[in-house]
Order: sequence, then C-alpha cells, then structure tokens
Amino acid sequence: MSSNRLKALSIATVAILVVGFALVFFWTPMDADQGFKQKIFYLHVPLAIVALLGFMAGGVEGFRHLRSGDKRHDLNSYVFIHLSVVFGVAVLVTGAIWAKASWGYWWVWEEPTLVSFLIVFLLYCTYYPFRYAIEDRDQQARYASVFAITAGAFVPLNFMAVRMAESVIHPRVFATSEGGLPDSMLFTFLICFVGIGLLWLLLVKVEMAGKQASGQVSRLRRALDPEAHGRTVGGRIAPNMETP
Amino acid sequence: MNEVLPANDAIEYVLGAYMFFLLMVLLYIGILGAKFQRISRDISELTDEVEAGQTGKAPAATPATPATEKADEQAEESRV
Amino acid sequence: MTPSRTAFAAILGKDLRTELRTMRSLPAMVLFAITTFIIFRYGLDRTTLSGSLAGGVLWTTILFAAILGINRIFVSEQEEGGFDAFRLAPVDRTVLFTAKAAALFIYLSVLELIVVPIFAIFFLDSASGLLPLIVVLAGANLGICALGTLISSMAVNSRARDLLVPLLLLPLVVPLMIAATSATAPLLEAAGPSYDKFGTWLLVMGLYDGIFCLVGYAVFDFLLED
Repeated sequence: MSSNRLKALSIATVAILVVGFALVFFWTPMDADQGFKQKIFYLHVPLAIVALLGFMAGGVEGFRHLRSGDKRHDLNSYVFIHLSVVFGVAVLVTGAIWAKASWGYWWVWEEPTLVSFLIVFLLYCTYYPFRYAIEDRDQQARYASVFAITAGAFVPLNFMAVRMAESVIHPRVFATSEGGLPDSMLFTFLICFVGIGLLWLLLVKVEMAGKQASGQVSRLRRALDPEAHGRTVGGRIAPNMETP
Repeated sequence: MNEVLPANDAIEYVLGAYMFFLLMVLLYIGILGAKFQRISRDISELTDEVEAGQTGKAPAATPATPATEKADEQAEESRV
Repeated sequence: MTPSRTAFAAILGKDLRTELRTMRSLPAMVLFAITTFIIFRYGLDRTTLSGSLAGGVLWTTILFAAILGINRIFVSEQEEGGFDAFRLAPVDRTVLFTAKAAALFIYLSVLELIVVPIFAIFFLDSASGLLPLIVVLAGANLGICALGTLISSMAVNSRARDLLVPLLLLPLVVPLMIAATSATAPLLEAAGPSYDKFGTWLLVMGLYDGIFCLVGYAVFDFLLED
C-alpha cells in the first residue's frame, strides 16, 4: 500500500475512533437498565465482531490459497488470523471487566457469547504451534489453509451450540443491542464499529508492510552472500515475503 | 449533560476497559517501533557490506559503481 | 464395484486386520478408559454418578481415549510409505479419508461397547438410559472420527505429532461435546431417563457431523499433495 493511502487510513482511523469515544462519553444517553457500565459495550462488541469477521476472512483467504496456490493468500490468511487473535485478547479482557462490573466476578459462564468467543479464541491460538510444527513451507501453507477453513466453519456452529446450552435465561446484556436500541446508541455504536474495523485494517496493512520489509532484507542478504546469509529473517512460523 | 460523570456506578471499570484498549494500541506501536529499529539496523549493515564490497573491487570496477548505486535506489523506492 | 469402493474396502480391511493382529490401539484405549474411571471415582469422591456428572465423566473419558486412537491412525502409513503408495494409485484420494474415518469409527464403537457397560457397573444405579445412549454415542463418534482423521493426517507429517492432535481437536470438538453431554445427562438421571430436548441436541450433533464430514471430504485432497 502506498504511503499516502496508509497515512490517509491512519488519520481516518484515529479521527473516527476519537469521535466515536467522545460520543460514547459525552453524547449518548445512559442505559436505563445498566447505567454507566453499559458504555463498555461500545468498545467490547465492535472488537468482538471485527475479530470474528477477521477469523472468517482468514478462512476465505485460506480457501483462495488452496484454490489458486498463490502464496499471497496464505500470507493474508496468517495476518488476518494473527490480528484477530490480538483483538480477541482485548475482547476477552473487556468482557471480563464488564462481567466484574455486572456480576461481581471476573468470569461468568452464563454469558454464552463470551464463552463461545473464548472457545474460538483458544482454537485460533493453536494456529501458531500448528504452523510451527510443520517444517516444509509449502505443506505448512496448505495445512494452515485447511485449518483456517475448518476453524471458519467452526465459529457459527460453536456460537449456536454454546447459546443453546444455557438453560437459564439470564438477562442477556446484548439484548440491548438486539431489541429496541435507541437511535442515538445505534449511531454511536456504528461509529465505534467503523473505527475499530478501520483500526484492524490499518494494523493489517502495517503488518504486511513490516513483513515485506523483512522479506526484502532477507533477499538483499542472500543476494549479497548466499552462503553466509542462508538463515531466514522472519521466523519459521509465519509466511514471509522472501519469494516474490 | 448530567449524564457525563455519574459519581456512582462502575466508572472505574469502564475507564479501565478503555485504558486497557489504549494500552494495547500503544504496546503494538512499541512492538512496531522495535521491529522498525531492527530492520533499520539490518539495512545499515547491508549497506555497509555493499559499500565494503564496492571499495574492495574499486580499482577495477569504477563503471560498476553507478550500477550498484542505482540498485540501492531501487531497493529504497520499493521499500517505501 | 467401482474402484473407489474397492479401494475403500481394501484400506478399511487392511486397517482392521492389522489392528486385530497387532492390537496396537484398542487395548490401550480400553485400559486408559477404565483407569480413568477409577481416577474419577477418587477424584470426585463419589461411588455413584447420575445426570450431568455421569455424562461429563463418561464423555471426557471417551474423548481422551479416542485421542489415543486418533494419534495412531496414520502412523503406519507415515512410517511404511503408505502415503506415497496411495498417491500413486489411480483412486480418488478422498477414499483414504473415508476409509480411515470408518476404521476409527469402528474402533470407537468397539471401545464404547466394552467401556460403557463397565461405566454402568461402576457408577450407574440403573441401566435404562443405556439404550438411547447408543444413538448419542453414534452421533458423537461420527463427528470425532471425521475431525480426528483430518487432524491426524496433518499431525502425522509434523514435528510434534502427539501434541498436535489434542491441541487442535479439543477446541474443535467442544460444540459436539456440548451436544453429547446435554443429550446424555437427562438419560442418566437417577430417577430414570428423560428425553428433555433430546431431539434438539441430536439435530445439533447431526449438523455438526454433516458440516465437518463435508469439510474433511472437501479438503483432504489438498493434504495429500506433495
């Protein structure tokens, strides 16, 4: 991505996030049921949705990689999943903070969306040791794509199963976003959602640029002295950009 | 405007959540910074090597110098 | 018989005959399960189990015993060049997937045939919930076998072979376990089996099995590429 577009993306991301959070704290009305702590949702829910979309996008890229054999799709798949895992950490921590504020405990098994997100997160955490365990680069890329597809299919199934397992109907906190959400709250939520989505996109681009740079450093190294600089920069887990 | 700061009700938690988010973003920027530093170091190492290689061959290969300079420029452009 | 069916029968037959002769996986799985029951007896400090506790103990044990079998399902192919031989054969590659999954299904069924009555003898007050349990067992076995075969074929070519199967399989199998335990728990109630939401959970298991059998079927080809 050219540096101008990257700059524009960064500015847009920061601007929208700042506006969004300002709206959260200074403009949106207070939730009648939960009070001030409902405001965590303007952060927690967009992070969760973006992370899940990111995981599924990783699955799509995995599928495209298997179809075409183009390594770029494998790289996309890796970066999408990696960043969604990072966002997932934020989802779980903000979710725990909300749980503590609502129920007094740092974790509640009764909130199905949080529990199923935890399971999805744990699954995608295994992506790294899985890639690391496969030595051959091409095989690693292919297997990783299979993982991304399988895990992508897993996400909706998991949410459904966990939700059904909750026999006690707890006051669903996310009901506020399903049932009559007042327009002002919806508006703020959408702004925050766009902001977080742009943040994800921005971080993806930045990661890719970083990998590109490392890849070129390796190529330069190898061009200069093939024997001395045989080692790969960028580790054995992630795909790199050494081969154009 | 009296919805702004209720003295009650979990304000620490909400702020804690947003602060954590900010912390993660800053941490990520820090990691990027470290990565960038490492790459800069690698590049200066490589530049030194290229230049050392040039001075090593300098007596016989003066016409080669513009070519390597051009290659360096191209590498710079593609990196940006 | 089409070449696929012949190949399927051949691979399945070879696996079953080998298992019968060498007894590599099954005895270990059975012994593991029985020992685990004893550990649960002391760990939980209970001599009888019912309801969700019984379901939980039973399914946890079956799942971990299954992992022992899954770890071994492709080992002989890997060690003795079976993968290469198979790649050369003019058969649809997915046959390896279905044949291995079928073999695993048979192993799991035999395991459960032995282990579930023992579980009943150890912990259950009445055996009336066991007959409908067969349906739940079959449904869960299918999902475990499809995913297990898929993961095992990837793990066998990797460095940390024995680690990879539990690592990947356990999170993936959570929805299936949710459905299986939720269906089993009412069956094992002390007061007698109840069919609370039995059909719903069977449907969930069916959906899960369908999706992952399809996924395995679709992607297995890519795993065998060189």
